[in-house]
Amino acid sequence: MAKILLAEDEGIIRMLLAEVLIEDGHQVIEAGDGQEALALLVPDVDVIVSDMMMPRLGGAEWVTAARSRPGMASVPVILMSALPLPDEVAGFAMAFLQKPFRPTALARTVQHALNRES
Amino acid sequence: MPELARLSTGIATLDLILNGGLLRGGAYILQGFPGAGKTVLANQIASSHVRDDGRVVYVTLLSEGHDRMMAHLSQMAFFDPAVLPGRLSYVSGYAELEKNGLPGLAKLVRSEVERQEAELVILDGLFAAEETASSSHAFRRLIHELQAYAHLSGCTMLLLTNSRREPGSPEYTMVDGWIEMTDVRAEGRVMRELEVHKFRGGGIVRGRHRYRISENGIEVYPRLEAVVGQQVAMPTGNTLVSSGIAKLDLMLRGGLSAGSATLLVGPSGTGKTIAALQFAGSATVNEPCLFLGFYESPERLRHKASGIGVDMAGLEATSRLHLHWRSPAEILVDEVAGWLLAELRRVGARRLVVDGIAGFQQNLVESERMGRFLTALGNELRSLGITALYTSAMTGHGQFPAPAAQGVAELSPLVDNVLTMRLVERNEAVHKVFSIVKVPDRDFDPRLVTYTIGPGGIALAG
Repeated sequence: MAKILLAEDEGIIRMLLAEVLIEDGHQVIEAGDGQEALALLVPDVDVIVSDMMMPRLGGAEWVTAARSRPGMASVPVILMSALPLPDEVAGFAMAFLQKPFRPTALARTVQHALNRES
Repeated sequence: MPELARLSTGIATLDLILNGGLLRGGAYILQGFPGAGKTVLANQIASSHVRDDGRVVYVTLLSEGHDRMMAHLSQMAFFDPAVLPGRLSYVSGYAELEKNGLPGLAKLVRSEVERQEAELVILDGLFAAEETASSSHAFRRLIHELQAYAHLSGCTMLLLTNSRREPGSPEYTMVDGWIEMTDVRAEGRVMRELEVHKFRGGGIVRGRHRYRISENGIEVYPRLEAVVGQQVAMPTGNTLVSSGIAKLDLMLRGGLSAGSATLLVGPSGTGKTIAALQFAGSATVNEPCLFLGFYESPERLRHKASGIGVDMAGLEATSRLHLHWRSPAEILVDEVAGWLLAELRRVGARRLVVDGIAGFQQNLVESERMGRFLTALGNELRSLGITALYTSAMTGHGQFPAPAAQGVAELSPLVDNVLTMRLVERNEAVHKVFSIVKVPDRDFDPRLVTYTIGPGGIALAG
């Protein structure tokens, strides 16, 4: 079981994504925007999954801030967006899922990230 | 802006109405009373998607099994049981709905789509879910969840229901589109109509469109004036086309303008069809004619033509003439008009006769459509470079002799040229009189000319 921080502003989408991760046996910490994600960020998080476009603090901004915290630079990051991935965040994203994608694709990507880390 | 990805319905005319098809990842309510054809349409779309190498999940909320639906669908030409269950999976959601309610149903839909890797999911019987819902809020939550899943996964979703709601109801607000299938009753007839009330992400052909259900499935006929003839094309005034009657060509100072539309009006028995046959009879290999008759059968037309020296069989054998007949009883005008335009293009026609424009007029149901219908048809014919001749019976009753304008006023603004063939009483005898009432922007002989009908057809005096 891994600890996954999932940031997605659309509640029902967040629920659908969390559901497949929970079904795979993971613990999911849900955040509705970047600020909330930073507040909920814990040192032992295994994977960060974030939407790019969110109110208050977007995916690129909060993930950049998160990675500056001690011990967080190596945490795998999976970004999601309906738009193509901007170049400035391509460097630290382990994977990018362009919407639309099937929730099971996220589950597979998370598993791939965990396998790489181990 | 990149175009949004579409999922074809497999029905070209419905795709035309939808501006290319359903949006991938969109959720749509398909609503109609029992028997409206929702299940047929949904299965037709599913079959089409499978033929395009797609995968479909069809979830039913019916208490009975799929046997009856399969038996019914097996009569449809589009249905191919060979693809079951590889690419088209039928799943019953009834037990899950009974056991775990709406959350269980939503989860079943998602898990089946993921398992089958489907790009299209159909939920047939949404009303059953509504009946199971503990509250209207819970039902709306289901719709929201399904719609969100469609958006997230890119899987197009069709939700079939017979529940009629107000246009502003939250369910219709949530989904990406709402298509209604209904009946319209008029003049003792019942016709099926389809209307797209809402469609996010692109223009649609608004309004009601007739459709049929046959062994081929759903056939949709967009309203002619909504889909063709938007561009106004002018007749090519410099090129003249023979009317088929030499003396009439002289009165017209050379013939009819190519690409023009002519209305030939007269009471029954004045020889309108004879004149139309002469127009058709002067078709050539390079300028073939399509003759669409509503009242006189092809056999009768051929017989009539042979009486005036027009060899219809010869014209048909050499593809100079294409003769078609449609019974005017309860036709769908948009179906006939759509077919007519396709056939004109197919045969490369340059002349068209519609013998009995009332065949269209009487079947429009909404009589106020005639102006828009004929204008759209005329514009489309002009853009195709087709010279058209419409015959029309005078409609006045009990007036003899008929005044020159009788039967003309209604249709005159919709055509370029107007010719009349009338009966006039003079010196204790009835005479046939021909006149040119209108030819825009050109000189013509405005005199009333008597005529007879003989072995050579219409013989104008003088």
